[in-house]
Amino acid sequence: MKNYLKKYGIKLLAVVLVVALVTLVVASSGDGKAGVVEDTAGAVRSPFQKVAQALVSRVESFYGYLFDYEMLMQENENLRAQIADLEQQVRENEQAKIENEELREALNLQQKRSDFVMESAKIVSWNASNWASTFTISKGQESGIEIGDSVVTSYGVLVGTVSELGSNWATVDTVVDIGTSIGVLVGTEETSAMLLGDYTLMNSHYMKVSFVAESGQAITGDTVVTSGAGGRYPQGLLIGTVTSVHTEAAGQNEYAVVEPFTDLNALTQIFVIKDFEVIE
Amino acid sequence: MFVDLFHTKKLRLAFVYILFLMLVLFLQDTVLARMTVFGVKMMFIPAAIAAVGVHEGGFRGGLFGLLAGFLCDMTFTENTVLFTLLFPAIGFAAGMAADFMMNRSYIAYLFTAAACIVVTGCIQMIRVLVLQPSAVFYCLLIVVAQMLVSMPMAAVLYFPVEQIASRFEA
Repeated sequence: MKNYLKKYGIKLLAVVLVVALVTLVVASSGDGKAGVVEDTAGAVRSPFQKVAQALVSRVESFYGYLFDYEMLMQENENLRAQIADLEQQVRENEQAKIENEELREALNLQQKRSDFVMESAKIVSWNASNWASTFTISKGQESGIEIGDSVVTSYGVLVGTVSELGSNWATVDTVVDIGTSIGVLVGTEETSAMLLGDYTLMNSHYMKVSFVAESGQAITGDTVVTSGAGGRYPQGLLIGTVTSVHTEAAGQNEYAVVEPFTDLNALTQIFVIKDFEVIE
Repeated sequence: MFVDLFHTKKLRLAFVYILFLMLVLFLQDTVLARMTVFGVKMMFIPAAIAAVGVHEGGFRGGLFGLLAGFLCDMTFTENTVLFTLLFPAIGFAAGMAADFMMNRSYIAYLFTAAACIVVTGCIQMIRVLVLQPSAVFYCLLIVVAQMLVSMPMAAVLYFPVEQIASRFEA
């Protein structure tokens, strides 16, 4: 052993010292720039370093995957919960925004028609039948609603009449229902006419106006509003516009097809007019 | 014991059919109430009654129809007692047809269900015809359309009733 160390050890130590000394001299010789040896060494070392670094990264990420997995899962779960909460908030805000807008419009309507005593309600369900156009609202007798009360949108568009009443619900027949019969005024000349529900038009959400006045005439685009005659409906409630004018099968009378101002399918909130001033 | 006083099997059968009816009503009244095919809504409750009549006979079909009719009259606001009278008759007739004229096969059920939906539609249109007699052809068109759009659901309703009936068979 001693012989071996003497034979190779001293030689090896000598070589190491020489190399170290040379390296030290080369490294400290410049002004910070790499020398030829260092540069060459760097060039040779670089690809290996890259490979090594990549390997280390892989190992580290694997290590992280193994040991941080639980933590990341938990964090992920928390973030998912946060996202769900935020989405819920956004939905609620959207709903509140729509409701707010409708209430603002209703306030405008209330300011315009100070004689109206209104009750807001939500549509709970629609009739599942092909033979009637009705919906159920979330308020009834307990809120002071009565049978025959007019139901309008926040813009003051007539959508129907209360036809059945429970303590905290009511059924509303829409204006397109076959049972509809309302005195109306048509166009700028305010021609008296009757708005009637027509079964052949009901499913496509249209109504029919038949003229009572002999001189009555309608033009496409005319506005139809309630006349208020008889005191059953408030005067001047918007209903719809005339989309076409036809002649009855008998060939003597004309009738107009009316499209409601409001899309009945999109209705969610309505206002029941519990009381109003009858204008004679 | 107290429990022995009752036909528990029959009570359980009744309970299962009540649950089935609730599910059908829920589907008819809420889930599919706004869904239209070519502007026509489904009306598959008569098919459910027909299915019970076909599998359980006229009496039980009639009882099921009575309960369904009573609940439907509360749901479909345009009528007061129409379904309470009509649906037991439909259930009984479907059961009788299965007992004496047809068999209990799937195809036979489909014909019975289609007939029940058409009869229901024809009775429903009376209110419209009273108010607007000129709409008779359009009403008949809606009756046929109502039957056609309801048939896919009617076709499905046969199977749960068949399962219930076979499970509680004496």
